[in-house]
Amino acid sequence: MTTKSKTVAGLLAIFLGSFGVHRFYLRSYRLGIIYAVFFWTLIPGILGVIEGFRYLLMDHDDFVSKYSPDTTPVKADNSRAVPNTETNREESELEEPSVELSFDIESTVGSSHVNEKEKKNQSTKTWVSPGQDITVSGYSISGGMVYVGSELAGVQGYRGTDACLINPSLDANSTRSDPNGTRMFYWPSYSDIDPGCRATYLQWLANGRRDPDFDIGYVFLFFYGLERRILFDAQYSSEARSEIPHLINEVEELLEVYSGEGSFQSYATQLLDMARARYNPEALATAPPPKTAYRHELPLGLRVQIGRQLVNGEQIDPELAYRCFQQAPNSYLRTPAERCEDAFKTLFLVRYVEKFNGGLSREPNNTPLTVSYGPASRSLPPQDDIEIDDLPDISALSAPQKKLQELANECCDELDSYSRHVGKTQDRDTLEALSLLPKPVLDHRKTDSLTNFLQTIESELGSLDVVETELDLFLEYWFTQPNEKVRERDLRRLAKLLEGLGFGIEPDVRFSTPSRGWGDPAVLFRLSSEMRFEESDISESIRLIQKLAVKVVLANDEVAPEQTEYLAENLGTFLELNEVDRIRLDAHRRWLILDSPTLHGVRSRSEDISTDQKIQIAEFLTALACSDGEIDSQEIDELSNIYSVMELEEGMVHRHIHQLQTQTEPDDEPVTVRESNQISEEYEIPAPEQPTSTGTSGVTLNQERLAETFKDTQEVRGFLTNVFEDEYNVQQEPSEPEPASGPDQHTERNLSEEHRQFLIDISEKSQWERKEVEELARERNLLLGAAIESINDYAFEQIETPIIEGTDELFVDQELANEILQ
Amino acid sequence: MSNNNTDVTLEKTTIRPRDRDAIVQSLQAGLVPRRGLQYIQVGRAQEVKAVTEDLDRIADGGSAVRFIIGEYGSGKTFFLNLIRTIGLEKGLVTAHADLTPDRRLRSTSGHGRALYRQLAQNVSTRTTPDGGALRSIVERFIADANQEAGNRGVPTEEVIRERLYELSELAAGYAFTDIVARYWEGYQENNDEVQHTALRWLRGEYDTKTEAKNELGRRIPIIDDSNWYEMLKLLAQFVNLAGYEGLLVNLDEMVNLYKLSHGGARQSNYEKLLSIVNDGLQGQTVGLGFLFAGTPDFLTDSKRGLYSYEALRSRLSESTFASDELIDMSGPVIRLSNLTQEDMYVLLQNLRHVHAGGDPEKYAVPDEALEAFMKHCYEQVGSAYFQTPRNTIKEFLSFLAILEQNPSVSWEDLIGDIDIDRDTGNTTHGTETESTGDDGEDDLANFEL
Repeated sequence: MTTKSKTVAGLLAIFLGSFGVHRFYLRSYRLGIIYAVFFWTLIPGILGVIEGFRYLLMDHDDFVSKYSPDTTPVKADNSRAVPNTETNREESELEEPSVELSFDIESTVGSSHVNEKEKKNQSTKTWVSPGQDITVSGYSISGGMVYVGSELAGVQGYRGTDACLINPSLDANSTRSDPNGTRMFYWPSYSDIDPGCRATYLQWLANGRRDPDFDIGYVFLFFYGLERRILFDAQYSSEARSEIPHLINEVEELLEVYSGEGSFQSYATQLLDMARARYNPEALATAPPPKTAYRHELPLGLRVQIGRQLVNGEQIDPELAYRCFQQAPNSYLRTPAERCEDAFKTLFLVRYVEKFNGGLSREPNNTPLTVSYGPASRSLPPQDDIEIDDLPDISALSAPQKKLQELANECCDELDSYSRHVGKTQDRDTLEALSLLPKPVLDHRKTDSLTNFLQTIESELGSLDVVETELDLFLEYWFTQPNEKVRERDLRRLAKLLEGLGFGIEPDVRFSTPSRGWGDPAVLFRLSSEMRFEESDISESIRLIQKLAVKVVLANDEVAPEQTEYLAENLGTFLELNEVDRIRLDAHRRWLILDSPTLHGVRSRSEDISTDQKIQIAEFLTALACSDGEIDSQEIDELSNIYSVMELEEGMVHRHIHQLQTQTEPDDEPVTVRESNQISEEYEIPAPEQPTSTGTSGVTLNQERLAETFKDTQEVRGFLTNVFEDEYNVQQEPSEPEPASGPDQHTERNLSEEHRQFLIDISEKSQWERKEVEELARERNLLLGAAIESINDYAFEQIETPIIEGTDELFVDQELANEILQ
Repeated sequence: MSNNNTDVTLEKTTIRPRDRDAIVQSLQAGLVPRRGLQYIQVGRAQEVKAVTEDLDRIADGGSAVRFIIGEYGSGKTFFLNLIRTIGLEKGLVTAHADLTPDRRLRSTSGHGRALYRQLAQNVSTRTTPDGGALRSIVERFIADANQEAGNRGVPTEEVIRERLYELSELAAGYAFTDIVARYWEGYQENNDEVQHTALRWLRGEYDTKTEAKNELGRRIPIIDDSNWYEMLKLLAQFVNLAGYEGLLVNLDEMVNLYKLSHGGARQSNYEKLLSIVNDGLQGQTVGLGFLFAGTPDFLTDSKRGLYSYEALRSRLSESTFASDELIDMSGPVIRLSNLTQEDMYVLLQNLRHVHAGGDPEKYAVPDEALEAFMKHCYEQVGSAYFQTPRNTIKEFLSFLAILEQNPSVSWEDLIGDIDIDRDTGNTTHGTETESTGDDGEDDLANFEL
């Protein structure tokens, strides 16, 4: 950083003081802003003038010490000087390294009293190489890797001896040893700590540097030396460079022991990263990830690997993503992820591939992956950032991490029931426990019980896809005892386990099938690997319909193949069901047939169905009952029961049967039933005969049916015309064939003379009392009734209408009578 | 509402003014016309043909049993009337009755005889189509016998007994012969009283043997619950001997059996029905046919309907292949489909055609008016207008009549003024009992030109 000129500062203060420009110049930004904001009050202006004169009148050294150093030490403080708590040290790490860098180099130049060359010499002189032993103050230190000597200047800033230097001439008092570090500074230096501490340090070194009971300060003291060797000496000394693998190894080992110390772990990890980045970038990716309880960023190695994959245009592979999630600083793992880590990982990997199609972040981001390091030692300058192979830095993005966390949460949700089961019973491997595992995890699980179970199933199925069996087959593998009531929960788990293994079972209590137990039938079927289903699209009403349908099919104690066919066709293909659901529906049907369902629960379930739909269901069932070509009383009984359970009018079943039978042309368009839950069902149910509900207009004629009716009408007209007209138009033919002994042939064809006379008699009047006519008839030796019959019959032949009508009073159509008599 | 039906117009035909008037008058009075049914019957060709074949079989000395099954308003009664009219035309004697709670097939309290009495009252011939033809039939038989007696020079009674000899083998056949002879006796003596007692016997009007004995002067079996069906068989043979083709018995409202609340009573009625069906199907009766009309539940209800009686069910069960194009008419059950709007439309066309005397040139209204009329009806009474069409027909004919009489009025203006009464007759099955006798369906029996 340049030293600020007091002249410039003074002039700025006087002339532009009201805007705080001088304050900005002196890097007192906060005050500068305050000045600028309040310039309108004129107070900053006045202050500026005063300050300006003060600067100009001030002694140069005073000015520099007050203002220029004022800024520099602030930074120095932050990074190294005063803080004595670990938290502060943490915070310092978070400082922008670049800012530090820019002025620290300057200040290094400005403040060093020993030149570079001298420093290098001192380093070389005092360094004890790895593997060498040395004795200091009576402590025999093996393994080397320390600076021992009288003189070793700090590389930067700190004017004095490097903190790591073990000066044997300094007093070390073993009686006042302080392994707890109560007298240690936060930023210790071998030269500055008290003799007791020095002795403790030497003790620690002599003990092999791995004693975890010593204060971390001593470790740091040693660590400063490693830092210097790696960061400073290795820059020029090939010897130092050759030692780097040892040094790295040493750091790694220390890290193993002292990983509990957050601050040490942080420095050590970063030093390792820096060292590798500088001297062996390849090792970055392969270096074992540090095992630590907590961290504030993704391990570098991981970031390098991810960066490489991104640069190569690859997707982040699942394994890496898992590690990325696991080691990210803000990842949150819920209980299932910890309790069932294997399962969690398996699931995570599978779901990751499913969800992100193998990739998490598609575009490499622009933030370069850099390694920066602010040494723990005050004697070393901050290090230049190193960009690694132009790789992007994934940790600059928060979205991928968020996505992974979401994924992890989802996985945890999936594992929740299994985890709770494990937590409760410590049982990880029974079928019951396995049934709780999500499918992908189950696929990776191999246990004896599972293998046996699978074998049983396979041998039961053989080469078939569907087989009718008994629940016992499965229950034997379960916890339940024979003849004990099987809990619905167990059946649910059983179904889930089977599904995970690629099989379906009916009854499947997950789909509102009632619970069953030992000795009950079951239908086992294969699901091909693509056919997975968590949820079924088969709605409750479909199942209800199917159940009722099976009831109807079973009604007459025999299952007519036409009926099952009809059922399968109409429920299977007319519904827009996927293959799985179709298979399931079919299996369900087979099971229902085995199970002989009751009407239990139908009433309550049908309550949600609208009346219109109920009627359609009912019509479907009736059509089903008729589909085998006959309907018997048992079927009708069953239908009647169902109708009444569905709270349909009692007589409706007969009306439906009737409609079904009187329908001459089958309807081409099936009735479409749309359910509230958007599943479309289409049945080939005959449309109701009357289009009663065609809106307000009400009159919509079906042209086809009209033509049909018309044709039919023409036909019947022709037929009736023959009946009514031909017979009396063809007069030669006797209209009424006589009985063999028929004596009245004659009178039928032509009116007999008696009748003729009688007709003449009675056509005198148009209205007669019966008594009078009877007398007339008797006179002609006729029975009145017979005579009237004969005359009217004759009249029918001739003029198609009777002449004499009435019983007690008789009416004679005189006009017609005359017509006949002609 | 958008068709002009060019493809379904009627060809010009000639309808005699007399027929036209007869049809229009009967329909306007709410009755089934006696003549010209061919002009108004809509559809059902298959059914009509099938049953007409039955009639031919009866005329050939065979037997027939049919169950006409249809919902309320599907035209069962009209269909029965149509068949009856055809039967009369074919020279059959017909008898018809509605079953009621008091008129059943079998009972021990006179309900069976009541049914017979109803049938006997409604015995019709072509010349006496409205019932009360029993006397004419008897007289015709006697007149024939008398004539033969005159030709052969033997007493008429001898011929009567001779001819009725074959009846004596049947139950009560001998009594029947006696009664016919007694009627002749009464005629000879010009004794109305005697003739009347004979007719009363024939009509089953004697409640007790004592009463019969008092009136007829001697001990004679009477027609009662136990033998009325035998009497019908006897009657069938008798009408044959009297020169008719056979006897057709129409029993409507069979649902009343279904409604019998007492299971035993129902069962015994079904037993009776079974014996009738058996006779009919096996051809054990001569020249006798039965038509039974009832609702679908009467047939298929497995608790109280015919299907509850296994023997009947097995005889009446039908093929249920709904997809068959043709209705199977070979079984004893004929199902009538409900009326549709299309049926109504064709009916209106027919009526217009009849009204115009068969001449399309003289149509009082165009096709659009038919639809407008239907729409108007629908708005007034809903789908009832075509399901129970009696009032609709009446109003339509009035509508045509007004237009004919007032050529200045346009049909569009007139249509809005039409009021259709809801057919209050039998809107529910529950009321479809005795009342049906009064609401017009039975009016055919009392038809007067």
